[in-house]
Amino acid sequence: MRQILLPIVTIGLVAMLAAGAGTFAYYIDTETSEGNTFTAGTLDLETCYNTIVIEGIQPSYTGHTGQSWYDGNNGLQSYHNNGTCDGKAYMTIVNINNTEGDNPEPEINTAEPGDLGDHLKVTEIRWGKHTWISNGEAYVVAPYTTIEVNKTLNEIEDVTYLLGDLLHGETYYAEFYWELPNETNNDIQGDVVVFDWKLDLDQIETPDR
Amino acid sequence: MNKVLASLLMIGMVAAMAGAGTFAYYVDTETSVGNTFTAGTLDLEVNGENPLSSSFTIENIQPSYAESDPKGINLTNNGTCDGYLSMWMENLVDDDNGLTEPEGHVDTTGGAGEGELSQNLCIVIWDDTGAEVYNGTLANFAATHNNSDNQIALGKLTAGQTRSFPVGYYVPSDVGNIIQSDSSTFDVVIDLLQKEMPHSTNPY
Repeated sequence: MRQILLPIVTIGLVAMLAAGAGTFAYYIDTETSEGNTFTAGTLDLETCYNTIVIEGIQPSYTGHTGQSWYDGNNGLQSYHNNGTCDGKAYMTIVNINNTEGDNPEPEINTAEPGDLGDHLKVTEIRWGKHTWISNGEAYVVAPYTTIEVNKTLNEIEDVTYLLGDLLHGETYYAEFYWELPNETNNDIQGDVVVFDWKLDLDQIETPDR
Repeated sequence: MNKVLASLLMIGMVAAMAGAGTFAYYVDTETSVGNTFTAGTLDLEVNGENPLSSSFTIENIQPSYAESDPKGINLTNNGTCDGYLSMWMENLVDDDNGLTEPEGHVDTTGGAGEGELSQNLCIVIWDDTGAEVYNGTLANFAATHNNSDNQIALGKLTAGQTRSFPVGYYVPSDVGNIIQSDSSTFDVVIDLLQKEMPHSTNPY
């Protein structure tokens, strides 16, 4: 008996090993998630390019760039985040050019470059989303962020100031306040200073998790 | 097998480290070009001169002498800023220039600085509306308005404006011989000053 059984068992085992060895049929269920997408957001700064023109200033005068009225526009710089990403807004005064302009008789220092940028003091920058406009004069109004400067225009050339967050879809405005100190003398008579205002919107870095 | 895997991992890490510090976040920059501040000017012209270099000389005056110069002092603001005018006198010197014989009967002093003309010469200054700005002796003017703290105010001279201040001078008839040969010399200072900007409270 043993002798007969053994070969059958052996055959059975061999049969099993020969055919179907390694072929399994466990339960399986498959689902598919379709159309997965990565899309890059956008960061797009729009501005109105309002040009600031302020003329006839004299020692003791104070003002703010929003009071400029030129070519039908006030002097506020608008920052609109036209993209889908939030950003941080910056400003930098660049390309300052000082010239003598008119040199009336009382003016003693008439050698180039002009002296206005050395005396015109930027006191503070205001950054906010609300404005008040009347007869062309425009103000950034509360609530606003104040960035203290208290330096001359020449001193802040190429200095970048962080204004604040500008979330996607938002519009904010910036202007700076200025003064020409009382003790500024005849040397600035007729002098002209021309400058560019660089507006930057940088993506906000994703915080590390 | 492990060594190959390890090598691949190493290569990958080195590649990542080589790129470390080079970021390319989103940035958008716009520029508002050609913004301008211009300083105004303030420039006084007197009788068409700038700077003023002329002076006047009036000779041979005598008691009852009267003269008026309707043109007077012409003041022009050649600048772009409004200003405020004022006037005063400096360095008044009265010389006797010796004593003539008739003068010697009424005057005991005859030297430099001892003349009597300025106390006996009257001047009148009007503004451009005809109002009298000053009417009195030359001596009194020089004593009362002789520096920038006690100047005579002549009002506003706006940018580009010209205003004329007629001047008259006379010697009263009853002055007598005391002024014979006397002379008065003096400097006239006319000032155009910019006013300080009124500082109103910014409601914002």
